[in-house]
Amino acid sequence: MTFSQPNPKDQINAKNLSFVYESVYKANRDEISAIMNKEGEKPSDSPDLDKYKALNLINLSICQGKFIAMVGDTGSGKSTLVRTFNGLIPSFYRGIFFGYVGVFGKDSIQEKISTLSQDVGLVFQNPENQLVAMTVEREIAFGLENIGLKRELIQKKISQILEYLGISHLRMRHPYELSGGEQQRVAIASIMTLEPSIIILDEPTATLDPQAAESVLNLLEKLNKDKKITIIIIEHRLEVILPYCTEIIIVQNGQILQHASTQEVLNSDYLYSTNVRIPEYIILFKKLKSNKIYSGIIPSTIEQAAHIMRELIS
Amino acid sequence: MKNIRFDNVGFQYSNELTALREISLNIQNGEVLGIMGRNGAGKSTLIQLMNGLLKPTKGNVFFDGITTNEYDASILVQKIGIMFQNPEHQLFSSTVEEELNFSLKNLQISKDLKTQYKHEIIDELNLHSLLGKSPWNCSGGERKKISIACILCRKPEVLVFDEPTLGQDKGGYRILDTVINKAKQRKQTIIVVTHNTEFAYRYLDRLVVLENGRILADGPTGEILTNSIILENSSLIEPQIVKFKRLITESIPQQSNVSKLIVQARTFNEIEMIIRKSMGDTS
Repeated sequence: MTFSQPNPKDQINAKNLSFVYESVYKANRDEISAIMNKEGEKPSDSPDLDKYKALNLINLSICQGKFIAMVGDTGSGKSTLVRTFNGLIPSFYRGIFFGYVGVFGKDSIQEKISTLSQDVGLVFQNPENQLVAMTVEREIAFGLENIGLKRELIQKKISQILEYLGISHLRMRHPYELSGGEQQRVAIASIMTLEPSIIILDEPTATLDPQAAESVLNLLEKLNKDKKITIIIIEHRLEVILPYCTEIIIVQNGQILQHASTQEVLNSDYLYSTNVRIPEYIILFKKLKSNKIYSGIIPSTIEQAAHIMRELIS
Repeated sequence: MKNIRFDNVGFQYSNELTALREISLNIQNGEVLGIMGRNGAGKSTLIQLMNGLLKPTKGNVFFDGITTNEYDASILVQKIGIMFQNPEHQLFSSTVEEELNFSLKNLQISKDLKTQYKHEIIDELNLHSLLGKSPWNCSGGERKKISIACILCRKPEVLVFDEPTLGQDKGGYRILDTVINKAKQRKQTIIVVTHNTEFAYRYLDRLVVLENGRILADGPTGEILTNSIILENSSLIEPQIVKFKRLITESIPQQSNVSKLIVQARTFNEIEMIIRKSMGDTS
């Protein structure tokens, strides 16, 4: 396993983080209690507990301004992990929590979710689940009202964010009348207006058509470049995210299998041992490399792949 | 011939939103067909009209020569099995075996035959280890497999998948691969709603592209997914293999023998073989 080293610019820092969901605990109460009560052993380190853990001894540091893809098999713990970053775990999704998650040095257990939410915004796969108001304007105002801003300031902030995201024309529309791509932009706007330093998106483009997906990703790239907002995206389709991400985190069986730059991940073997669907042009170069027909780097985008292939055959 | 026919079909929701207009479409028995198009183009409405979940507000939808209005809803749902996007919406029993029993409950067949159908699907999808488990304690991939099993065990004549690749890792893809290939061998009609052009290029023979409630294009997959005008107008993107070949050839005016062979390749595996051969690798 490889881990990135702690850095003073770390925004999120997880140390020996483990988590068992309450539902799993309830279903296996006797066995888990027996393991927890074993003398002379720290319960979180006990290998007997591994099969019950959704997260297992995670150590992770996330630095400012990165665009990170989080990948892994279904059920590997990706969504669970990001829910610890804004306190949803263990405050909302309850269970047994071991270790530490620091968000800008604040202990996620000690801080209120409302405070952490201003640092870390979370956007879910299905924006419909996140939209509750009768108009886009009310939707965006909701979060701002909850942090107690004055009405004039709220109106000003709504105008600013709608203009920045190019959706001013949607201001008085009902969120349920909007297309999937528009709804996702509104969900991002309502998170953005709280000015978080980190935005985490759990498969934000899964239900969108390819061009709508591209426009949402272009928008996230703009936020990342203009405002230095750290973006973390959980994504199953590597081909969609590779043109954007600078780092990849691979989660497997509740652990971090690898956390490194995109180039490093593609050129080492961890990714290829998982169930993550890898673009076929990458597999092509991986095979050519294994057969010693090609010795350069594995390309991350199809444009790079075609460029290398042209040189190879000419 | 058990075909599905749309005869000048229109559909308007109660909020006056017109989802489909003037749809005329003939799907033959044993076809492997994809329905594509941007969000809101009318894809989901189209498949719900097929099994009578929705009734056309204009024109008629025929299954096996009879309009869907004339069918008993429970019969049509059995003949045309739809697997929806989120398997969670379809699962509610306390164990996987109970889920299968429930799926078979309303079939008008003998108890022995129901048991036979159940065991056939358990063997086909290798569900033995999951039978006593709650669907809620299964992984996303396992739930997908269970929801497919619940549809397949009723032996529908037409299989409809709504975005089957959504959120699937390689394990989920393998299950889909098995199910689709077996259905193809049985010459079963397969209809897939998808945005995934990679999947369409690999598995589907014919594509119907919807745009704003109308049919924008209808033809062989290879022709549709290489037509830049159709792709641009329906918010679709080129499959990787199509884009890769285009990028390689468009900037090489003088094509070598190798690049000519690459243009003809259907898969990346074929490209790998061409390159290895050209480099003298015969292993």
